[in-house]
Amino acid sequence: MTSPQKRTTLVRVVLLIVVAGVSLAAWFVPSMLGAPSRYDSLFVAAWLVLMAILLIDSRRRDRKRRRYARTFYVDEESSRVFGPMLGTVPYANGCELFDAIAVALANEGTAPACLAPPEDFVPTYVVETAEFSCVRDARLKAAEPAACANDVTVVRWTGCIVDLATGRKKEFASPFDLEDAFCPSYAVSAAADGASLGILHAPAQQGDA
Amino acid sequence: MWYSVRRAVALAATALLVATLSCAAPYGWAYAAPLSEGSPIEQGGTCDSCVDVGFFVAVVKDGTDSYPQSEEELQQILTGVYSPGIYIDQAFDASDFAEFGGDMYDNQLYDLTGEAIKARIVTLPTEEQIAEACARGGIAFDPETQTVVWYVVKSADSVWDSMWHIDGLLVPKEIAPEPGEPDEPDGPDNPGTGEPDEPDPDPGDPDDPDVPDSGDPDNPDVPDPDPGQPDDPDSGTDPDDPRPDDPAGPDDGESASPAPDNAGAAESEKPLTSNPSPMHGSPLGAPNNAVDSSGESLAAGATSAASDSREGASQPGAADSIEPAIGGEAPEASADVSSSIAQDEAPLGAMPSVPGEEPRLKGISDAASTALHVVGALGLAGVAAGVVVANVAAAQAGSALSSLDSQLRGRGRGRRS
Repeated sequence: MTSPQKRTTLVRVVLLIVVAGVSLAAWFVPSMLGAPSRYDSLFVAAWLVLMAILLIDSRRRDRKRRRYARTFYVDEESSRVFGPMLGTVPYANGCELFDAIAVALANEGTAPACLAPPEDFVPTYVVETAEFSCVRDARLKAAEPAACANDVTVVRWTGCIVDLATGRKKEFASPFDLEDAFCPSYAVSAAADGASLGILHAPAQQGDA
Repeated sequence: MWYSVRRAVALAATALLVATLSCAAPYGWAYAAPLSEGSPIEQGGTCDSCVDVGFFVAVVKDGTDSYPQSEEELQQILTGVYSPGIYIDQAFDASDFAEFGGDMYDNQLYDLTGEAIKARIVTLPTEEQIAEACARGGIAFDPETQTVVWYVVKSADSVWDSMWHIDGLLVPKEIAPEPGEPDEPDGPDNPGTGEPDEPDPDPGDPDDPDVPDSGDPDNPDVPDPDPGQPDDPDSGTDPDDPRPDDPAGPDDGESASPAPDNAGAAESEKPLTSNPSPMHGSPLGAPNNAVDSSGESLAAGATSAASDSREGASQPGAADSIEPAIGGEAPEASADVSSSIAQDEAPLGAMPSVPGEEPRLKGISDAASTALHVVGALGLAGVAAGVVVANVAAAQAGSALSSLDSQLRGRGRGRRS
């Protein structure tokens, strides 16, 4: 979870807790002062149970939403990438693609969702992100989105790359693994993996990298 | 889509339920105290401030020819013998007590004329009930010639229990302050006099120095705890009665005595008869001086009524917890009855919340309490609604992204084919 998202979530949770605390206090104050309170505890207990259920359910739904939101679709033929948080972005080489996805993930929660891919967009690969964390540049303000790859340093990035043409799936456990797939020239050993998967294997891109 | 709609409906129903419960709880559950049958205010629906009460009939000395006009006179005619308790649910309107704060252990409303008490009694004991209680206590009662003037109501509270009781004077009808006041049976014929000379040691005060000194718990010199204090387990009836003050316990026979209702320990030996004993429990100062026997009689009543709805009255633990407060004043009371009475003359005492019953309002008005409950309910409902809305939004977003994912993957697979 990125800093802006954490901040937003924290603000919401604190607000929720404050309102709930004030409400509970208002509910219990009469009891503490001697007013009838026979069912106060029962009611509050029921409310707490209900809230726990709702919060657990909310967390489950949010995980599902984020799983889809963190998925990126790569159209290798048109050199475009689409993601619900990223929109449709053209890229010239694999490294640009990697950076674009990283920046989009770093801005998760701040960028508006885009649910309209171009009509002619036909994905070749799907990049699914299971976990992602990064460190934003200290010069960035809290709510300011990262503009380029230099603004973020990816710490953890796990997931898998799915080749829709063949149905093959390659998992990656670190940002380096993914970088190797997108920028094979960075790591000689990774070039074979990238090529075998068929990801961004154009020689020109390697040279560019 | 249909899944989302169903989810939304379910969540909306849940939120509605929460809101309903929030609003219903403070008004429906907490305030609806059913009235006992036959209650005069039954037609009114509910009596929020009504409490369960144990009525105790105090026996006056034989030959009493005038109604007491003061506490001192009252002390003069009291025998210290009380009937077993007559327990009636929702019998007393304690609303007036709400505005008083203060002493937790001794709250009472005292009015020798009985007017103030009667005005707040919702359900009076019937003649049959009084006769039955008197019969159980070995007290002679003739409804034709005797009447009961309910002159004091008290509440003894502890952390775990609370008891309300009303004491009444069994006097000849001709001397009753107001003929129409007490509807109770009358019958001056036999003011069952208990064993005044053998008042029980203060059961409520184990620490009472007077008692141990006397060595005789039944010593009349030892003031009795408040007869009105049901917290005093009847020594006669309750063998478990914790009475450390009875070490000498020569008269302890009373504790073993089966005589349930008769406070006077000696009563077990002597059936109630008119026995003008100088020392008698002060109706008011029961907790302070009180003839021990009176306290026991109450306790006995409480014990005998254990099966009644008033569980608290029969709980010895509660009685014990109250004891210290009573006992603390016992020594002085024994020394000077009248002074102790004066202490007890405080007007309406605070009525602390009654465990198991409708607690009394102390520092907050009904309106403020209602307002706070409403605010609290709305806040809790709002929080729940907020979470529900967040859930619905997350569900909708998840569903949209899920369908988009399926659509794009379908395109990719289509290219392959």
